Amino acid sequence: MTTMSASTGYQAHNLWVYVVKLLGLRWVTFISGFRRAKPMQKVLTIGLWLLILAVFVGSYLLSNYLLRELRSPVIMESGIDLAPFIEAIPGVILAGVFLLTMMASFRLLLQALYLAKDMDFLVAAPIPIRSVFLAKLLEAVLPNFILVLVFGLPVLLSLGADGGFHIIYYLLVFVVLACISLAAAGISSLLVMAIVRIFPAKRVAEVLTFLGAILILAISQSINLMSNKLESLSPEQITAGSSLLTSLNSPWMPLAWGGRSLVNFGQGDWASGAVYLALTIGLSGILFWFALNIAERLYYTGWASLQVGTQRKKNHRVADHREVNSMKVNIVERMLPTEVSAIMGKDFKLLQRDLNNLSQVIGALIMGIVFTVMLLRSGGEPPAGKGEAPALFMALLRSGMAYGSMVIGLFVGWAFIARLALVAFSMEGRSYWILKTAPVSTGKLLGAKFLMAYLPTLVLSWIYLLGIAFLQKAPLGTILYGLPSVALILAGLDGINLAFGVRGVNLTWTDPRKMENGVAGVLGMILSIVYQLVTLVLFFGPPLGLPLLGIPEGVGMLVGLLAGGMVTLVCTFVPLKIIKARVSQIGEE
Amino acid sequence: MITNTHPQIKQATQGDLEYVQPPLIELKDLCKKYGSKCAVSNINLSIFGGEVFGFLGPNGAGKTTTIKMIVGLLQPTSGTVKVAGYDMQSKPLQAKISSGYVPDTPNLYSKLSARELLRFVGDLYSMEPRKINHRIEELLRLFSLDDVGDNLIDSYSHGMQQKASLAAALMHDPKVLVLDEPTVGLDPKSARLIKDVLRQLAERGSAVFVTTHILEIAERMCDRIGIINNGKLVALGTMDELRAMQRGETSLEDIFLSLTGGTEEAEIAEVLR
Repeated sequence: MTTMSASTGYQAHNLWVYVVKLLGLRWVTFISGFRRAKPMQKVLTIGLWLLILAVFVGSYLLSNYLLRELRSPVIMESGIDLAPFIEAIPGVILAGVFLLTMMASFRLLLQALYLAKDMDFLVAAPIPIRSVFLAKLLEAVLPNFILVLVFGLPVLLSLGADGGFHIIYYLLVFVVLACISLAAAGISSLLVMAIVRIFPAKRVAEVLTFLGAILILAISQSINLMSNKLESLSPEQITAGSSLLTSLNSPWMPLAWGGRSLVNFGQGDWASGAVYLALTIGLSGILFWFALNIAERLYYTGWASLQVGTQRKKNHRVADHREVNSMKVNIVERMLPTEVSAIMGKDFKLLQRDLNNLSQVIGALIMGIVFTVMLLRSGGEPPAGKGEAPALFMALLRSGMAYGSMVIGLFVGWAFIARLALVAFSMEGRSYWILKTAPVSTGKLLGAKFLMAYLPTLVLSWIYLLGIAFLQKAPLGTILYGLPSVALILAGLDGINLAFGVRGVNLTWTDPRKMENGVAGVLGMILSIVYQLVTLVLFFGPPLGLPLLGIPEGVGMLVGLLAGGMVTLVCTFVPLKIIKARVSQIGEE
Repeated sequence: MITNTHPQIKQATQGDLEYVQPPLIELKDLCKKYGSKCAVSNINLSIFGGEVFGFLGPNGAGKTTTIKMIVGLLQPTSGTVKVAGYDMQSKPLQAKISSGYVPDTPNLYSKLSARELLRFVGDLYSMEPRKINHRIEELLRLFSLDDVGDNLIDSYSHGMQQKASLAAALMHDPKVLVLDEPTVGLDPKSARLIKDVLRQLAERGSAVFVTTHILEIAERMCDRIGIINNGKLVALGTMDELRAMQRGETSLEDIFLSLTGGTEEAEIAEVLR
């Protein structure tokens, strides 16, 4: 080794020197990316950081306000004792930090250890393998730590301010947060390796994206549904809820030790605080060290990269899909040109099998179910409000509720079709050359993409419309009017979104959700909203308004179909006509 | 001045035009510019049925750009591309139905199985359903993919994906086959299989246009070779003609390096010092 060092000039450094070098590389990449970014991207990046700062300040102010409210005389007089709950808050926050960091680090570590593909290069370099793993774990922790600081730190700081805690509390908050985040990342690294041993890393990433999207949607919609319930909670229910959270602050719960140490130090109980702090730091350190060693060993011995797949099962699954799909496609094949049905069949399979795409459309279904429940719970009656609305307005609203099935069917359809049409070309990705070199005309290609977004959406919207109308016991005339109206409005939405999808096509994206956040996606959404407002007025205005003038509703429906139908047909074909020339240039940038 | 030296062209120059088959690939004054950068400059080339044409050049010389224009992936800035007698710009569908393409990276639909991919390609080329089924089994067997034909492509190795890509290109039995680095990343057995397939296709009257960095393959397999450098065609002809053109150079490697410029020995020694 000495000879080697002498001949090559190689000199070993401290482990942390390499860690800093590796982390420095990320910093260089970030700065270099920022320097080379377009001015708009730079502005957006700076804006994002300012927003994070604003959220931090906002969280702090909100926490202060809530703590004041919890200690307010109104709460005290109601007989609810929230003091143990307030004392348990640091423990609950830190337990949340641990779980969230563990979950969030999982995705980042999966990327850093398996998908980034730089591990072989780094492990082959003359640096300690431990420094590579340390850097990877820290890389996974740092972005989450920023989130932790933004959402968790303000609550802990305002708790300190509210309780008049000792200054050491504020210093230890950072130490405890860092320890808990590192321990969580360590466990996460082992979980990643264990799971990737069974499933391919790419598939795991897809499933995570899918579950993440569904989870966020489910949580947001649950909060939406529960928001009304919260106002009517009884003191007993509040006490029961706070007791549940307080029980998490038990001295036997390792996740509570960090929080207890902070509160004890803050209140000047140094002895207890020191014990809990030592336990927190010790346990976090052991967990992190253990995870680091095991992960390093598993990776280096090849255990972590040797996959134990379930090939036989997979074969069966694919074969089953093939049979079902060929049946579905055969029906379409008889009615459409072969190339069109082939592209549709292929897209249908890709949508089913790519969870990134599937999460997009499942979100629309969940939202539809939530709104259906809300509509059915209303019993067909509009919200009463403060009872100050004019009678005519309430009568119109009541009549409008009869068309609720149509609106929900349309809403689900919009969420569905916007995603399918917008990503219709981008989802081809780098495989687009197959279509581009094939003898398929632009018209057929556009037609296939149009129908692929339109047909499933129409079926789904009609199912929603008919299902809700049946449950609402809507009149047959309303249903018969709703079916063609929804079909026409969706066609226009398809045309608009498909056109914007072509305009903003990007064949290098791997995540179709990015398409919605791009300029074309946002413009498409704005235009879709305007289009829907206009068409809703045209379709529903006459059947709702004309009866007020003594004209039969049937005549109103006819007028609505004519007026709305014309606008929808224009919006279906004109955008496609405009964009047709652009289709032949896709993939040439 | 580079001239076409294929035997059929020689016949043409002698006036026997009625005996000359039209070229299956014909490039006339082909140019592609990206802003002020000229990627391909005034390429004139004719490839005939029954020949394997090797298109060589250093990295960034314009090989892939040329190929992309031939198969209709890129629009030329000027000049024309004709495939099977059809102009790729004005009659793209007719031109494309006669050609098959294997790109340098096998970017295939990863969530389809090889069998599904081939069926899809067969449908795109409007093949008869019965013929599609027969052809799929034939090609999967040929490329030893029949056992994994129902597995998703994302579970395939690079070599298997490359073979699936070639199978897709052969699905409709094209008159013109264009391949960009088809042997990269393949094991010797697969590479040999691909070479044999290309040779047989040519013997059955197809035109095969292939780029490769493995000069030995080009030397042994190709009937004619074109060398492109900095977007310009700097040499064209059979191996014998290229040797005659570059006096003293006997191997294709020497001819290639003398035309495109290789690293000097002194320079190598300086770096490895």
